[in-house]
Amino acid sequence: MTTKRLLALGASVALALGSLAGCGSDGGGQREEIGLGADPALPPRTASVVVDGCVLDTWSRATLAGAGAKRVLRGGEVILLCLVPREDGTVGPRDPSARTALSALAQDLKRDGYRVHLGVAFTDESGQRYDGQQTRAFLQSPEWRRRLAETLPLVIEPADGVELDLQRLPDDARPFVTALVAELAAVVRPARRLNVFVPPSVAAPSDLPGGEAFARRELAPHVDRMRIMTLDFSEREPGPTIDPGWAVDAVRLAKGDFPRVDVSYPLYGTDFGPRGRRPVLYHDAIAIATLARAPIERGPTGAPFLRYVAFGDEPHQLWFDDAESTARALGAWSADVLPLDVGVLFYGLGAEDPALFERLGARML
Amino acid sequence: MFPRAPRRAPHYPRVELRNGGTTRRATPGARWVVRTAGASLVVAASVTASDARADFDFQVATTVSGAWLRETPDFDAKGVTTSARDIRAGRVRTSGGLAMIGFGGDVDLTIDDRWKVPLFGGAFFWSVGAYDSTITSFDGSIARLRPWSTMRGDFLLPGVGRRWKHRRNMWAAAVRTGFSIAAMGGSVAAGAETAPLEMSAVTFLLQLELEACRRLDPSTRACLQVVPRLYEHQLLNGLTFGLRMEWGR
Repeated sequence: MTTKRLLALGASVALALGSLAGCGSDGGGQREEIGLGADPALPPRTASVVVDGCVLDTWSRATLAGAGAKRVLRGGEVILLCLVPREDGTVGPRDPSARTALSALAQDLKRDGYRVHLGVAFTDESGQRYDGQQTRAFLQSPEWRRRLAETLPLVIEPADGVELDLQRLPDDARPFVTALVAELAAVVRPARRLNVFVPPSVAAPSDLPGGEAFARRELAPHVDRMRIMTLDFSEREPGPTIDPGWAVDAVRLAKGDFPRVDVSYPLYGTDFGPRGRRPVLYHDAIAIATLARAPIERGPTGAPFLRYVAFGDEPHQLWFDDAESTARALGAWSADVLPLDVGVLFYGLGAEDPALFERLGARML
Repeated sequence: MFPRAPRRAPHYPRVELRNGGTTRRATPGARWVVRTAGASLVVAASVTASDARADFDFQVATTVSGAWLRETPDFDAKGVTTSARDIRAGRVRTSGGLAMIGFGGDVDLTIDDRWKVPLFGGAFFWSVGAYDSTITSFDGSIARLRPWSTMRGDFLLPGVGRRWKHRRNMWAAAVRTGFSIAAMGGSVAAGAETAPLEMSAVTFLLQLELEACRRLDPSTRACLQVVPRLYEHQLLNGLTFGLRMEWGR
């Protein structure tokens, strides 16, 4: 009897020890709770898209005419970032031919069901963005602001709204930014909407240079929406253009001051090399990966990236986004994380994964 | 001659207590203590002398078993600080099944050789097999979970059941309660970096224990056991199955 007990006990222990040797392992694949392969549909949000310029090439126009883009961008705007204030405060383009072309484009987009907003980008005539101090000097001048408010209505006639894209301002530009927005609101609203791009601060006072130039609470009575520019997350070190969690913090902070906000999502990528950063298109990234025979990996956020050696033996890292990484971020921003009244602003039409809107549209309810 | 003093005062009865010049009988509490102590002696005797016949008996068992979790639960994640943000403790969504293997032990009480009262026990499981990582989110940040790192601890509490014997064979069924704690590892993204994520999920447990046994000797049985999990994070969420060795009547 004792022998049998010992045998049974020994068998149990042996089985236990034997099973200890077998443990779970990484299968190498991915099961998606968020992303294109996940079951839950993407949260329904109002989405808009920014075009960095006054014209749409045929590819971008075809994209906007597609069913996917119409589904994703329903209820949102196409923002043409092309209005330029000059040194005397007048807003261009003022050439009749340019205004006619812009008006025709706006009408064309409206026929596809989009609202069209024109963005005021503070660049000089060569397209170079003014540095913050120069923009501040403009804004500080009541005469300059008055001239801007006088000339703006003429150029925004074909549009449904105006977007202000002020960048790199010093913190002490705060009263002038508020004054500009209030004065423009008086001529733009209520017939049209006035929205403003604001820096993606995640702390108060702002953790960003120039973040304090935007007094969200003071701007609130004068604007319809604030677009939180949650872009260019990685600046010094190579990395993704956006971190979805960081974007959540930026939106939450802004939403505490103003309810109608959008979170931005980049359509472009960034090439990090020894000579600095350079924005790239999706097609650039794929072409470089092909030419350099560099495998495309995915970073922790799901953003694809590749490492390659360019001319002169320069080591580069190129981070960009595609339909999968975008779907992951949109999926991560579930309704319990960001309320559904938070919209999405896609930045840089034309730089995106060509399959982006079709694939996102297929994942939306 | 001095008279011998009595060894016990005649007015000091064995089961009566003096109290302020009056006497009273033993209290009900005292009787309960005496009877419980007596019962404990009987139980102890029945355990140590297994061939003694008694109304109730204890048995101990060890189990080596496989387990299947039909649907992995959502996990509670501890707060984490990354280079991008501070994330407060929250919930992480996951799904998919999981196979595990483990071992455990428990103590049962049998009454009248028919009724089975599982008392206390525990089991420890870990995942087996190859699993894909799970891409999910934690408060808006992208998270990656490692299902293959899952471990589960069961803390089994009392239940009730019945057993049937025929010669050297025995069949038993019992329903019992408990708690189960599962833990899984993962990471959360912060730009191009990651930070480790610690997650756990606790649930009330209700399970049906079914076993078929054959006696090896007067006090040892080998059993095949199947335990559907009636409730574990959700209804009918898996089962365990394995070999069980029992020592007792």
